[in-house]
Amino acid sequence: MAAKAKLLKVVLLGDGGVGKSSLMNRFVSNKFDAQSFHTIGVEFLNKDVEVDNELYKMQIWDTAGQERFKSLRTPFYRGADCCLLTFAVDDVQSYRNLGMWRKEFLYYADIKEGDSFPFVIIGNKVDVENRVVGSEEAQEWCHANGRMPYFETSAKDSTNVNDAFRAAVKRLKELEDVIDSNTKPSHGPTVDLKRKDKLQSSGCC
Amino acid sequence: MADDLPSDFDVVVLGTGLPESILAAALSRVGQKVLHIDRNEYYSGQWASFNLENITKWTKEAMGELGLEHPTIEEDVLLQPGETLSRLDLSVKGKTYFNIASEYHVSNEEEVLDKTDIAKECRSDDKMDKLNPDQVEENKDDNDSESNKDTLEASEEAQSEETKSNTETEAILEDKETKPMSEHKTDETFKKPSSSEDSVVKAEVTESKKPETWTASKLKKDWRRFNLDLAPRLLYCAGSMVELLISSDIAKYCEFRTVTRVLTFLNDKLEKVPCSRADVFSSKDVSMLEKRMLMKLLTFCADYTNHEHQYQDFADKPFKEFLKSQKLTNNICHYVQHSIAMATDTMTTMEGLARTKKFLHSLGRYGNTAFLWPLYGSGELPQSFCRMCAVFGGVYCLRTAVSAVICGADNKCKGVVLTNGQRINCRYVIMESSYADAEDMTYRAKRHVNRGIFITDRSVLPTEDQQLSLMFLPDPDNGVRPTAVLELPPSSMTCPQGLHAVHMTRPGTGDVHPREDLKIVKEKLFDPADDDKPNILWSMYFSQTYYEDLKRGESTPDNIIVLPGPGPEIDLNDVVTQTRQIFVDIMPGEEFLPRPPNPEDIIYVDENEATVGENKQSEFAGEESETNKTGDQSEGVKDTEEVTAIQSDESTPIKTDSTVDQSDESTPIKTDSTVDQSDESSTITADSAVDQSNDGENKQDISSEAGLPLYLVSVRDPPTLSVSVLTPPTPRPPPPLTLSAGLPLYLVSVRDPPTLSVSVLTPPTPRPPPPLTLSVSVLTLVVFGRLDFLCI
Repeated sequence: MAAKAKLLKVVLLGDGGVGKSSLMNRFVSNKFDAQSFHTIGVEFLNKDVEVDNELYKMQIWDTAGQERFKSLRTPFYRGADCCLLTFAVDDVQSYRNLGMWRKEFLYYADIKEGDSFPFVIIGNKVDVENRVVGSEEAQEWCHANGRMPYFETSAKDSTNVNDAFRAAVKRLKELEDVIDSNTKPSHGPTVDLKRKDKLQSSGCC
Repeated sequence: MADDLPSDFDVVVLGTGLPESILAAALSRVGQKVLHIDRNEYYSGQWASFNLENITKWTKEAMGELGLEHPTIEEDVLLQPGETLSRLDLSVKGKTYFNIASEYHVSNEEEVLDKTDIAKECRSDDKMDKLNPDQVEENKDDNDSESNKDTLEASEEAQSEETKSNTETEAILEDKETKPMSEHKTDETFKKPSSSEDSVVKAEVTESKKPETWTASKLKKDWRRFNLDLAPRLLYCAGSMVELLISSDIAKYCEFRTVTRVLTFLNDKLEKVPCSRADVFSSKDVSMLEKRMLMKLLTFCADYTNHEHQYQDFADKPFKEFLKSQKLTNNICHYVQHSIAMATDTMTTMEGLARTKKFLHSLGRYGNTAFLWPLYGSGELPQSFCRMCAVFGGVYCLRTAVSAVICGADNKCKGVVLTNGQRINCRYVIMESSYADAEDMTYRAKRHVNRGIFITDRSVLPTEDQQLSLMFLPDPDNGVRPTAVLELPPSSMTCPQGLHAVHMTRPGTGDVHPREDLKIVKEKLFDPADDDKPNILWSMYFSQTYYEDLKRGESTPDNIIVLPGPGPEIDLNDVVTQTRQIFVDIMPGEEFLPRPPNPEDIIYVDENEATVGENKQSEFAGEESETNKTGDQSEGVKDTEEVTAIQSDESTPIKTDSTVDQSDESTPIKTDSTVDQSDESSTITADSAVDQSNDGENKQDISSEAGLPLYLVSVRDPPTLSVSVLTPPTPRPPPPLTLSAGLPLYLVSVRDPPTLSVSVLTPPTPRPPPPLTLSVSVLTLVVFGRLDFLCI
C-alpha cells in the first residue's frame, strides 16, 4: 500500500437545489440521478485523488438538507480544510447568496482570515438552456472576493466536475504557505473519546 | 424561507436544547420522520453558547419579545371535524430567565495612551476593514449614551467596592430593559454598545501594573473568540454521556479537553485537590499520614458496595457524619465531601458514596480528573445531535415556533400549526418547557438556578500551563446551596488568549438577585484591590427557571411530551437517563442511538448493473475509522481485514430471491455468505430459509423485484456492520422478530423506509485476534424484500 493519503474535509455549500449532492455523487461515483435527494444516513463520501503526486482522501460532507432553512451549524463546518461554494447558473438568487454562504462558513468554521482559506466557486448546471448568471460576471465576483478559482460544471453531463474538486486540493496546496495558525483555529490535541488505553485501569488508586 | 415544509411527520420537536436534540436524533435514527424547530435563530436554546455580541443580544431578547407572531389561522380550512385548536404562548418574557444584568468592569479606552499600542491597533483595524467590511462598524464608537452609563456604572462599582445596593442593580436592569433593541440580522455583525473616552471615571482595575491592560473595546474586538454558556456542563469521563457519544458515533462531531484540576478553599487558601493516586502522592498540601488516610478512604469508596458493614450504620445519615466517623483529618473530610463527592452537608452517606464512586471511576480514563469539557462550549453538544438527526432525514427549521396544537376528539394531539401558518400532522409532539403552556406541565417544584459569567484577566491560581479548573464551594449558610465554579482558559475555546471565562452556578432561593447570591464566592476569588487575584473585566448575572420532576399536564394529550430545561447539575448523566427513558416509552423495542453505518463501508450498488463494491477499491488507503473492534489488534491486522472485506465484496456471490413472500411469517430470506473462518467451525444458524453457501463460487446478478426494497448488508468481524438502502423501500409493517440462540446474533430490523437499526443481541464471543492470513469472518448479504434477521 502506498503512502497514506492525507485526509481532507471538504464541505459543499450553497442554496438548496443547486446540485450539491449531484456534484458529490458525480464526483465520487460518477453517477447522476435527476431525482437524487440527500442520502439517508450518509454523513460524507470519500474519494481518493492524486494531485501533484500526492495522495489525498477527500471526505466530502453532505449538508444533510440542513441548508434548506439555513440551519447548518458548527458540526458541519468545523475542521473543514476547503469549501466548495456552489450556485446554479440558472438561479440568480443562489448566485447572490454566495457571499452569505462564504460569510456563514467563515464564521462557523471559526476561520479568522477568509482570504487565505481555500474556497472554490462552482457554477453548476451549465447544461441548462436558460442560464441567467453570466460566466464573466461570476468570474469577476470570484476575483474580487479573494481571487477564488471559478469552475462551471454540470453534474448531469459530468463537465468539469473532477477538475473543480481537484482544484480545491490545488487551492489548498497553493495557500498552504499562507495558511498559518491565524487562518484555522489551532488548539492543540484534544481528547479522543474512543481512546481505549486507560491511564489507570481501576480508576482511582 | 423559500420552500414550504412537508406537512406530515412522525414527530415534531420544539426546541433544540440538549434533551430535545438527543431525542430528535434518536427518533430520526430509527426511522421516524422528525421536524425539529426552534423559536430562536440559533441552536441549543437554554443550552446555547454565545459570543460576546450575541450574549448581549440574548440579554435583550430574553427580557423582551422575540418578534414571532401568531399567524392567522382559518380553522375551517386547517382543522378536520372534531379537532380543536389550542394556542401556545409565544412570548418568552420572564418565562425562563429573570434578573438579567451584564456590564463591563473596564472602561472603553485605556487612560494611559500607549502610542505603540494604538498604532498597532490601527494597523490591525485597517487589515480587518480590508478583509471583512462587515466588521468595521464594531470598531467605531457610536457614542451611545446608554453604554456610557454602563461603563460609568462599571467603573463606579470598581471604585466603591460592593457598596452597590439592590436598588441600584435594579436600576441598571431597568435601563437596559428600556433600551430599544437594535435591528439585527442573523449573519450580520451586531452593533455593539461602546462608550467613548469621555467616561473619565478612572477605574482602578485598569492600573498598568498588569502585564496586559484590558479595555472594553479590546474585549469587544475579540467578540468572536468568546463562547459563553448559558448552562455550562461537564461530562463524567466514564459517564453515560461519554458512552452515548461513543456508541452513537456522535463523538466525531465534538472535541473535548479534560478538566485539569479540582480546586478548593482550605483555610481560606485556594488549593488543588489531590484526587488521583499521582496527585495524592505529589501533593505538598497533604501530610504523609493524610496521604495514607485518603488513599485508604478512596480505595474503600471505589468499591463501597462490597463493604457494606463499613457504612451501613450511616447509610441514611449525612455523608458528612460518616466521614467524621472515619477518623480523618478535617482536610481529608473537606476534600472528599466537597471536591470529590461534591456533596452538601445534608446529603446521605449512600448518596455521598455513590457520588464519590462515580467520580473515582471517571478518573484516569482521559486525564487526571473525572471530567471533560466540550470545546467551544456545551452549546456544541445539542448541535451535534441535531446533525445526526439531519443525516438520518430530520428536517430543521430555526426561527419558527408552534403557534397552536391541534387536538382530536380523542384528546390526542393530531398535529401543530407553525408560526408560518402551516399545519403539520404528527404522532408525537416533544417540547421544551418554555414552549409549553402552564396547564401542560405538572411538576414537584418550580425552582431557579442563579448563574454568573465573568471574564477575567488571569487564573485564580495561575500556573505555567493553561488550567481548566472546577471548584465546588460549600454553602456558607446552611449547606444546601453550594456554588459550582468553572474556570475556562483560552484552550477551552471559550475566550481569547490572556483571558479566562468563569462560570458560577448556584441553586437559587427566594428572590435573592444572583449578584447578591454569588457575591461571597466572587469576592473570595476576585478582588480588584488585590494584585494577586484576577480582575473581572465583564460580568453577567441571570436566574433561570427549571422544574423538578416535570411531566405533562393532567389533561394534556399523552402524545405530547414536555422536557425540562437545564437544572443546577454540573454534568450530563441526568439528561441521558431521562431522554433514554422517554425514547423507550415512545419506541419500545428500538435501540437508543445505535451506531450509524460507517460511511466508509457503504458500497454503492446500481440496481440494474449489479456492480458491487464499485467504489470500494479507492478506499484502500482508508484511515482506521473502525473503532468498534474488540481487543487491541494492530493496524496491520486491521488493514488486512479491510482488504479481505473489500475483496469478498467484489467477488461475493450474490443470490437473489425474487419470490419473497412479504406477508408470510417465515419469509424466506435468501442470503449468500462468504464465511471464511478457519479458527472456528461456525455454523450459520438462522431460522427460516437462509440459504447458505460457503463456497463463494456462484455469481449472480443483482436484480430487484419491482417495488421491493433492496438492502445491502455487510457484516465484518463483529461487531461492525453496515447497511445501505439500495432502492427506496415501500411502506410495510415492521417485520416479525425471530431469535435464535448460539453464536453472536445480530438483529437487523428494517422497517418502513428507510429505517434501519442493528443491534447485537448476544455479545460476540471473545475470539483471538485474527491471524494475518485470511481467517477473518466476512459475511456479505444482499437481501431483497424484508430482512428480518441474520446471524452468524
